[in-house]
Amino acid sequence: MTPSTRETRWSLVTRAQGDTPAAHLALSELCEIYYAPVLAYIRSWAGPDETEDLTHAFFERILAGDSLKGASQQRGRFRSYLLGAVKHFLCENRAKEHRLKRGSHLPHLEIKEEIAPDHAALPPDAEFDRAWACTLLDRALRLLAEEMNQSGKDLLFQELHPWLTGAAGYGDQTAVAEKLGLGETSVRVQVHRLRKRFREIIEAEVAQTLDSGTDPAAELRHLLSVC
Amino acid sequence: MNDPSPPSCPSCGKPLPAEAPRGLCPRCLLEGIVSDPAPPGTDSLDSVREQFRDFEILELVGIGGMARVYKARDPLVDRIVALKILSPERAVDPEWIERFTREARALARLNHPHIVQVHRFGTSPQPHLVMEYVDGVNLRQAMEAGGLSAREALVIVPKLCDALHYAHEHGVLHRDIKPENILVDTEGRVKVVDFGLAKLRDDGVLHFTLTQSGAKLGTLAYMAPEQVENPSDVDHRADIYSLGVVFYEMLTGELPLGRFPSPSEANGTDPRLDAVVLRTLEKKREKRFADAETMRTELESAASGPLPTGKENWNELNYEYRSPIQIAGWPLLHVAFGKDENTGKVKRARGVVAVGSIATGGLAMGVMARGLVSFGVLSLGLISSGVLSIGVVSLGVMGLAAWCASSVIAVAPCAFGVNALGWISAGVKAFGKHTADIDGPISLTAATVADRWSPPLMSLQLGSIMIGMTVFMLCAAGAAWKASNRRIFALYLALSLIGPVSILPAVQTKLPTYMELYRKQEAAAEQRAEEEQEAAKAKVREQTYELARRWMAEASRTDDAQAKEKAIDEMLKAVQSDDPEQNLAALHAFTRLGETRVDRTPFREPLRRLVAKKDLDWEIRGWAISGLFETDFEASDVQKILGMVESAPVERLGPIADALKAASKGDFTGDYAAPMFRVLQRTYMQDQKETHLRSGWDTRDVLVVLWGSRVTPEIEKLLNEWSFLDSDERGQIITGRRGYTVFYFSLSVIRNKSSISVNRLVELASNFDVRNIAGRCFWGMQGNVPDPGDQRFVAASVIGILKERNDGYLWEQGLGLLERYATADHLPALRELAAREELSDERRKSLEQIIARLAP
Repeated sequence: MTPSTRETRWSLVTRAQGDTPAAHLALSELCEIYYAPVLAYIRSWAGPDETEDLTHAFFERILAGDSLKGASQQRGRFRSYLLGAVKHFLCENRAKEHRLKRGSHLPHLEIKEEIAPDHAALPPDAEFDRAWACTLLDRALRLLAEEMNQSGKDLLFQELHPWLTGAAGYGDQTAVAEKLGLGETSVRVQVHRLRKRFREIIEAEVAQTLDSGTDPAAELRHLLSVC
Repeated sequence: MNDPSPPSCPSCGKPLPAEAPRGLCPRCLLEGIVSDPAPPGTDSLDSVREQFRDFEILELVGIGGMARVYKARDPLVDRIVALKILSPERAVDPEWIERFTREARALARLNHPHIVQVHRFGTSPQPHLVMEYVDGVNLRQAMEAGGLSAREALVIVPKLCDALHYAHEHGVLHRDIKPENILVDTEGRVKVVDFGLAKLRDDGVLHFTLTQSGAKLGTLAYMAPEQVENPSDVDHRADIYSLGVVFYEMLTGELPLGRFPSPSEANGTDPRLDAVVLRTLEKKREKRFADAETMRTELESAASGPLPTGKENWNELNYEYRSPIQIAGWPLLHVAFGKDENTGKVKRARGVVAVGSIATGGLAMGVMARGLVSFGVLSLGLISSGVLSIGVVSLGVMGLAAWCASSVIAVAPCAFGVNALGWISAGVKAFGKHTADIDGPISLTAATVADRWSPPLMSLQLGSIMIGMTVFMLCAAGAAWKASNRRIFALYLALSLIGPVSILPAVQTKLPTYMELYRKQEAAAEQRAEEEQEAAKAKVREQTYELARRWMAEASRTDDAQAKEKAIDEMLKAVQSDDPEQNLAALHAFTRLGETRVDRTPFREPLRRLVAKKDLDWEIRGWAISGLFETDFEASDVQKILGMVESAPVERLGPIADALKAASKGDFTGDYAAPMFRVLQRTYMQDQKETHLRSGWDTRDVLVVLWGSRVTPEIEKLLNEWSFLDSDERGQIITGRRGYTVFYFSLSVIRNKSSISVNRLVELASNFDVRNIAGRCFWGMQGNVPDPGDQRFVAASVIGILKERNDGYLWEQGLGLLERYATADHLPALRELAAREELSDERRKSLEQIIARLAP
């Protein structure tokens, strides 16, 4: 599942609209990518027994095809859009529950931006954003690992990826260098390269979720602030 | 939610969320990306490709102040190169073009494995350099993954030295050495790049300083002071300074700004590198290394050399041991030297037995030690020993104690030492209530206490120094061994011997006890008092003698009868006085009147009273007896004297003997034989006991009484025995003092000599060694040998002796004896003697006269 680096999330969303096999494929890909942040968000709102059900329901709604109508790149960050959709889904779901309890039945509502979700009742956005950031990082790490694996450097990746956080301490190079059969300076060069590549991947990934007018650096700073 | 504590990020310490990708902290992952500068954009690649169609531009790898560097493939030679292109905005400025050209010219001169190689230089379409592509990162990027270890720095820095030395030798100064301009690659190669600020020796005075951009040449933090102050006056030593800054940063991760610590102080890196780093960072360039090659050499020898000695080494020991056995939560043994790597504080040893820089425990040994028993430079404890020790019992150089201290300077209730200050103190200098000062007064209390407690404390002090010093130094040596510091190890091992070596002489020294000193002090005081008393007595006695002399002179006057009368009157009164000095003066004068015509009768009664006086000093009584027997004494007086033969002190027997002689008229064969024998016997027995003359006692006082007296064989026998003169192992007689006195004053001069005396005198005369005595022996026998048999024996002996002697006096006396005692029986011997060849005519004639008289 190597996505084309040229394709943005928004184009994936656009492609996912409609009822073609290609659209379904794109949609399922979207779901796979964003399952985790949606689940995390819903978990902090719903009880443990309904979290997964609700998450499935949300993606089912999306897979049903019509929820993404009106979503377009001009709407800005895909993250904000998806969060809005989840919030909307949850509010609507709550309202539906209430109605069911009262025995009445109201017609199904379209997801529209104008319908403001009841923010006070919902968990903070930070929950979602943090899970989003983790998803992003995890995806970037997986992509990086895959790349390294393909160029036969999986051991290098295994040993050096802790350095991506800067968590490795002074002098740790010596042990790793010995393990990898490299010089200490060589390890430094490799670490630097790994970090560089990781940054490139992250930036590419983030860019996919933004419209052309949004600064990727600002998005990264926001994600850093919620972590 | 069963996890007791959620895992946290080792880097930022925040808890890791459950979603953390691969267990890595999302925050730290993102932070690394946000804080990194954005990579060069890729958007300009197209235009560059457009301009440089000869190259296959692959990617932008760096943007500098004046140029961009692209990784490119040179299709002509099919190699990857670095294409450095002057920025378009700079390319219109002739000054920048000049600088770019400068770099090209500089690099073109240089061909060194550690300097980036330039392949080509071109000006069209824009000024550009085609250089060797280094597949690596710059040192700044390499350091992002943490500071370099000393080992890594030691791989890189010598290469940089080589590169710089090479450049300098070729007249090129880099002037912008900084981590960004040093590349390292995966193969460990090192390359110096960016000679954009290079100065060529043949440039003359540099005429541009980049003033238009407001910046000085080079990056400020890495520039030598002289480069900042006067950029036109720099030489190769500015590069050395910059390299020093880079070196420092490699080791510490910090820049050497302001009053910076040495690298080893900053983060405990190898202290051997300090000197080299600091020398490169000297503010005055004259103090830096003369050239980069010297720096390299110094660095290599420092790195392979021994650790420098000094304070830092102590911390370098950095050794810790904690025994697994614990008592009350304290390890049985805890040894700790050096600093804690995390806190930077000196490690503390805490244990039942604690050894270290700072030690606390039951038995604590350290530079600073606290414990029940403590030993250290500064020690605190119940029993503490050290340079400065404080405790209940303190030992060492300076001791301050709640109970007692034994040290060079001791301050305590009970203080013993060289300088002691305390309630009870003893020492070379002692101050306090009860003191025992070696030179000064010694109190009995202090002497008693000091003798009781000072020796065990001294032993404890010496023992603690010996054991403490040895154990501590051995532990320190052990720590040094563990820290692989052989030199310090050897030093501490040697120091561990100081304890035993310094103690041995002290152990062998036997110090006098204070009690001995106290007794000496008392004895000296007693002697002084005695001497003073004696002196006072002597003074009085001198006045007494003076008085006696005056009376003697006056009493013997013939010209002034009145004065004589007066003196005698005074003497008479003095004899009757109760003042012993008056008695003595009168008696001295009286007994020395001799032949003076004085009527002694009026003195008789007073003298009798004096002799009989109870509790009278025997000195006066003796003189009184002598005086009495110069008067017309009576039989009753003699009876009194006979009664004193036993009761008189032996040293006062002289006057008794005198009295006996006066009474017996020199004949001790009759009634007076027994008392005289007793007087002699008492004197003889005392003489055998006395090893030295008692003051004022002299055996001659008694012996001289026998001079010319007649004695019994019993007395002769006593004298014979008394006159024994020591003999040596060959049987020859040696003149002894006592025997000689008896021989001289009695034996030789008694009037009637029996065979007992005769035999001894002949024996003495025959002895070759005592021939000086022989004359007196002969003289003493003249007319005093009554027995005819003895007389014949004497004559025969004299002949025998004279055969071998020529002494004049001996011959004179010998001839006299022969005249008296030779008989006809001696004629053959006499003739033989007369036939001696060497005989003088006079002697021969005397002999012949004797022979003629005897011959029928």
